[in-house]
Amino acid sequence: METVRGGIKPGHLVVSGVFGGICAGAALFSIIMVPIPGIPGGSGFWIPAGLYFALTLWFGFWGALAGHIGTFIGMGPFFGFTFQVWADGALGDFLAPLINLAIFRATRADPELKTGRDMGIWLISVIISTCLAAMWIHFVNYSFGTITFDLWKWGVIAYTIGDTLAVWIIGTLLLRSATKYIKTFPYYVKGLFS
Amino acid sequence: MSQRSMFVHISKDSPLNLLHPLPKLASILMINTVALIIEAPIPFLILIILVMFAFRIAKVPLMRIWRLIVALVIVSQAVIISYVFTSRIPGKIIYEFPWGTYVSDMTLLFSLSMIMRYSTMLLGSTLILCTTSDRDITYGISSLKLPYSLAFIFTLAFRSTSIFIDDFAKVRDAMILRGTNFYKGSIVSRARSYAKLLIPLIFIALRRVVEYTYAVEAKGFTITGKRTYLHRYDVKPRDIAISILLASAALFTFILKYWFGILSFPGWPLNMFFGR
Repeated sequence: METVRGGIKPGHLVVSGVFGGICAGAALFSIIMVPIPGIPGGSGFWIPAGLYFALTLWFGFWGALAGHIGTFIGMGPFFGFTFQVWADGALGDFLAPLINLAIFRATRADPELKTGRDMGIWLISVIISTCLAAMWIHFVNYSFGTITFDLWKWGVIAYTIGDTLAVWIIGTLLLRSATKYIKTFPYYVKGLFS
Repeated sequence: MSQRSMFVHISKDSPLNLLHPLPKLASILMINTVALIIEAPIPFLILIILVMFAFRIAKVPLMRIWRLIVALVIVSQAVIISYVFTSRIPGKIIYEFPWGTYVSDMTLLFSLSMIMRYSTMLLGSTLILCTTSDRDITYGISSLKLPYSLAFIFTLAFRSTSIFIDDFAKVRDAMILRGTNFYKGSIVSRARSYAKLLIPLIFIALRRVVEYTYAVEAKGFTITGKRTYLHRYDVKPRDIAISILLASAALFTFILKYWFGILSFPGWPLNMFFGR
């Protein structure tokens, strides 16, 4: 297997591409099943969130990139491939799992979530990262004139609750059931890129 | 004769098909930037009419526009609700809410402007992407001197989406045959059922990652190495001229808004009418 620059392999790019497609499909289902009127491409239960939070803990930057590309492709057919859709949903969905990963790396928590400490860090880090992403996303919506500043805080609260629940339900299940196997996978990322 | 773009089949002699991917990407950037700069409703209206006209010239089926109506209605109602109940747009106050926000004579006009901003971005991006194939995006990214890896990931993600949807249907049917009911129980229990569906999908995807990696490595794919391209997309002087023209249009819009104030709300010609 060829190893190039800092241990980044072609497989890491393939991880982003393949899982980007899965996140896009999951985003399509989320928008169709639980749409939020008014938020471009928004959904009350964002299935890809659970996916890319877990993917980022497994594949680092490449998992977050999968979420970013997947969200953009998934939201695009419904609400256009516009700057706004890219900057709010797609960029927000890139930042949130990376913040979560940073907390995990800083606290040396294990994504297998076997101990109470790891589980506690997971639950809290999801709230923090989702809330920060929600602030960014609604700031973008405010900048584009879709919402007013008074509505910003309510948007942040609603988004944080909705996304946190999705990540807790889906992400926890994925991390607890698949991490042990994925740690043996050649493209498992221990740092940020490799 | 027609050819397949990312969304539709369009006529092969569409003028936009003759362009290099670079000016196409520049068009998407320009239309979004210009829409973000403008605040005035009348210039927005003119811009939307121009974009609609461009649909005709580019021979893009207008059916594509009608599909976007739902998105526009969803965004419009939210923008109007948002501005009516939670905004303070200066003007003649018509109604003041107990929580401090008010509806002025400018509130509806401003929210209409914001709806038109979204419509412009939506129509403009759709027009360009209707005449762009995923291969154009790959070559467009390469012409912008961005890493080829990015184009590779993007193309792979596009292709993987339909494969995932097929896998999803197969796994869901298998789970239903084994007794899973996705339509029964509370929202949380249904969400958990769907989450369980993702586990086999993740493992199928991991197997695919290994297979695809072997395939691309067998074909000599490297992350940083020099590569050759099957198709040639030569940048012609016409493409460069169009790209420069588009960049100038964004700059011109910026000057019109911040120097002359023509494109600031309420903008030309309403500023004469409202005396602003």
